[in-house]
Amino acid sequence: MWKRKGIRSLLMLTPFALLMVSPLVYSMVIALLPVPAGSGAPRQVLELLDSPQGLNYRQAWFSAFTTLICPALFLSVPVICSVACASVSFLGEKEAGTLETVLLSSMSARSLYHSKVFGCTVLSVLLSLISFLVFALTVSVADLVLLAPFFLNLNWLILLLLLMPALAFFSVVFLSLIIDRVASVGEGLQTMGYLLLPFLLLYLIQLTGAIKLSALFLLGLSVLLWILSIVLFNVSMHRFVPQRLLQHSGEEEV
Amino acid sequence: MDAVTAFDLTKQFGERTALQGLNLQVPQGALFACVGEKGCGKTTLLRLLSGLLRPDRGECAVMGCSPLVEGGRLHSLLGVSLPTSQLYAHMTLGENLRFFAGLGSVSQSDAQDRASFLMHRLEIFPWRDQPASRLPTSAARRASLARALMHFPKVLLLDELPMGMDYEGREAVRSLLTDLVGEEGLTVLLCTGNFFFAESLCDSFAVFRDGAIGLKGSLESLRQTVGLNYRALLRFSEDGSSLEGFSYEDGFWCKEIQSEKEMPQLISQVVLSGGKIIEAKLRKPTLEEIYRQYMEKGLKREEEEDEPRNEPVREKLPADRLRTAAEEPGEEAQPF
Repeated sequence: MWKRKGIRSLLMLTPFALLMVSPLVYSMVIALLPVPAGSGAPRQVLELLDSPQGLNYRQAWFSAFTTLICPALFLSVPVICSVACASVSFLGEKEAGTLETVLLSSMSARSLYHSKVFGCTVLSVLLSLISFLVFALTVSVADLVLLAPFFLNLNWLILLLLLMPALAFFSVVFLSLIIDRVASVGEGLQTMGYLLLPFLLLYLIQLTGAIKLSALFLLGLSVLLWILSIVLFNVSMHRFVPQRLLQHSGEEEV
Repeated sequence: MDAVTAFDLTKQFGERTALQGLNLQVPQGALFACVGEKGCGKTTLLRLLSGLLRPDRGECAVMGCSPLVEGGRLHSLLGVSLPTSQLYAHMTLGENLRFFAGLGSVSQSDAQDRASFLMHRLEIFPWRDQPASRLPTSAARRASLARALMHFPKVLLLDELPMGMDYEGREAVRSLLTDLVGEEGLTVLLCTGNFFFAESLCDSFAVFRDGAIGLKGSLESLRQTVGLNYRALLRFSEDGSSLEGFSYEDGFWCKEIQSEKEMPQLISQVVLSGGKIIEAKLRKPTLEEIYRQYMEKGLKREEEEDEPRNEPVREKLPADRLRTAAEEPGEEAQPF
């Protein structure tokens, strides 16, 4: 996986761009933006924050960024990493012909499936945690400079400890479920759009004020995602059989 | 226990039947070749035996293990080399062999020794540090064979092994497999369209046709079945046109004989009748010639079955004579 330049760039640069560059640029813009004296953040923005009291213009906007927008950016990282890892692990091997070779070894299809799914999930979670650390460092410094409230709240903890691992696991399992319908790594990478869209929409809708993603809601969502992931994992494991994985070969080489 | 068994094995891909009720037994320690034209079901047989495909009907087993039920144990006893099974392109040849040995639960030290042994015997040792993507075609095919042999299998399934291999490569493969059959009790099942290689390596054969086995046995039994004779080839210092039963081909006077035991008698007869023999050869029918003879016979039989039958036209008896015949005891009316 690490030998592929495109995948390596995707795994390293995307989290970096999403969780370090974006907060850094935003905090610099907010800090340097000229603000008229006495002006405050719009009421609609303040209503979306947990503790808007006493926040000035810059603090309110930065707090809105870290609590309303950054979670969506953060959740993109496990999806992108999981889909990239799983695409190379499953589809890349299928393309290269090595999946067949491994299926001919003493390793059972079930063990192979387990190792691929858990390997991709662990790598995705690890990259997400590293990205979070980098993000936390960047945003903490910005919080100190702007004297904004510390970004880490209960929502963030649920995101970090429950929702992010569930999303990483779900993304890998989702891709493993559709490998017989996807022909290449490139096609596999396109599935990250389907997985990102619901979460991005959720956080966008929150910005309109129509809903508020509370800690309880995120907790329920995490539990639901874990249950769905485990069910799909078992379904996909039973479908991970050579004939289904390599079905195009049998029809050509009679 | 036979090394490979298949009973009523059937596999269809859509409307196309790849295998139709195939029965096969390969004893342990055999060098067995399945030959036939492209599309006759050889590769499908190997994929069914190795568990990559599920049969639509029938069953098969390798060393008593069913590919569908005991896949893990099967693959510990089975080595498979298919043209579609690749090595990891970014890993070197040596790394690939050690990796697949590890999957086969071979210890590191044994894997190192085994890899070295196989690479030397297959004459691919110079490429041991090359990435698999940079191996020449012949070396890559031998590397695939080495990968299949790393975990000391009992049965080896090979599909189109000589494809892309040069002469030295084929000789190295032939030598290694012959030695492994003798020393490690390996059973080899080779599926190929290369009749020459199959004949040089194997001692038992199955001829595939339309998804089933048409002929099976040793080269001699196949020869007798299709009715091909040996050919005695003689070269004389003088003109041999006076000899009866001989035809002249490519510088030799040829005569068909039923068995090699007739050769000494034939030579004696020619010498006694005054022929001055410079060179005498006994030419056995090759596997390819046997196959062509079998296929031609099969095609002729099909053509005969397709032709309309030329039956004599019978005269119709008057109706009263039909009734009289039917009423007499012990006689049946003959239909016209």
